[in-house]
Amino acid sequence: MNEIRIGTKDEQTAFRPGELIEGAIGWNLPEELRAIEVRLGWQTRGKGTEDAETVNEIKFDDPPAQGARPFQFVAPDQPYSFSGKLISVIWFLEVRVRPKGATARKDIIIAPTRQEVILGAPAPSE
Amino acid sequence: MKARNNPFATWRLEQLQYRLDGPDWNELLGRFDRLGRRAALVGVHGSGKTTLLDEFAARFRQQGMHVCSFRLTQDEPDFGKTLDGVKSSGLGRNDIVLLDGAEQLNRSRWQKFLQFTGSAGGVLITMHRAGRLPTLYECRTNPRLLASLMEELAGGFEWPAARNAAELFHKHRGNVREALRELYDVFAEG
Repeated sequence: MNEIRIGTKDEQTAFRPGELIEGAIGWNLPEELRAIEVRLGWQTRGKGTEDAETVNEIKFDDPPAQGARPFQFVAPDQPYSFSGKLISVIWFLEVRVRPKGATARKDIIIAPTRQEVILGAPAPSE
Repeated sequence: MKARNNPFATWRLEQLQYRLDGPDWNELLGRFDRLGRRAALVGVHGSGKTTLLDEFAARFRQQGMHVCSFRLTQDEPDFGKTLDGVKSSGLGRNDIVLLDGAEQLNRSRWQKFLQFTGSAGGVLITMHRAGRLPTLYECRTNPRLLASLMEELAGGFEWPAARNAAELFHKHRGNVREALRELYDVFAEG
């Protein structure tokens, strides 16, 4: 068995800035681990050089080979999840296992309307 | 199309593996040894030299070598302070120096680079033309390669407009990277 999972409470994948992002990670790995990290970050996708930033991270040292842990982050104020033709900003939750480097990832949305902002689209009505 | 869904987005291009035409990896690594572990990857702009160099780096690391990578471009044609950390510790037989863009160095700086890497366990550079070090491999492109990469990247997508790989290849004079970047715009506008 070689498994890493990440999930959010009530399977919520869209959040407003300032909202609590709650979830849990689970793993079942054959070898000894040094640490497991859960990250909240964003990255750009599109044409040209891409950018990425980890804005928060929780680290669990010397975890057992099998286990589960809850996590909580506060959704940051910016940048909003958005997409245009040339660039998208994508928020994600990621689990990274040390030393092996195996990962699991879940894309999420952080925006005032809980919907990805589409550049060029009409503004949502109040 | 949203940028994150574009099949020709940078992150997808970066996941493409170099497609060796002829020798396999064992032959290439053996040839590198026979050339005295001082050699060059040669090819025109956008022919995959950097991708291939990155794959060499991964293989050298698998062999237990310590890889020192440098990348020079028209915008950053000098080492600047990046060499300082390496200089202070010196290079040994377990160090492999990879230099992408060696044509950016003029003759005197190239001589200094050779002096600096004299004690290293290997030097592999990329160049647009053969000459400074023996050619280990020549990166060549052709319309068939471009068509194959287009299929790999966008095989499952509906194309917004008809595209002919051969025309695109000739338009960009064999620069496959630029041809793929043009296709990003085709999907972005489609």
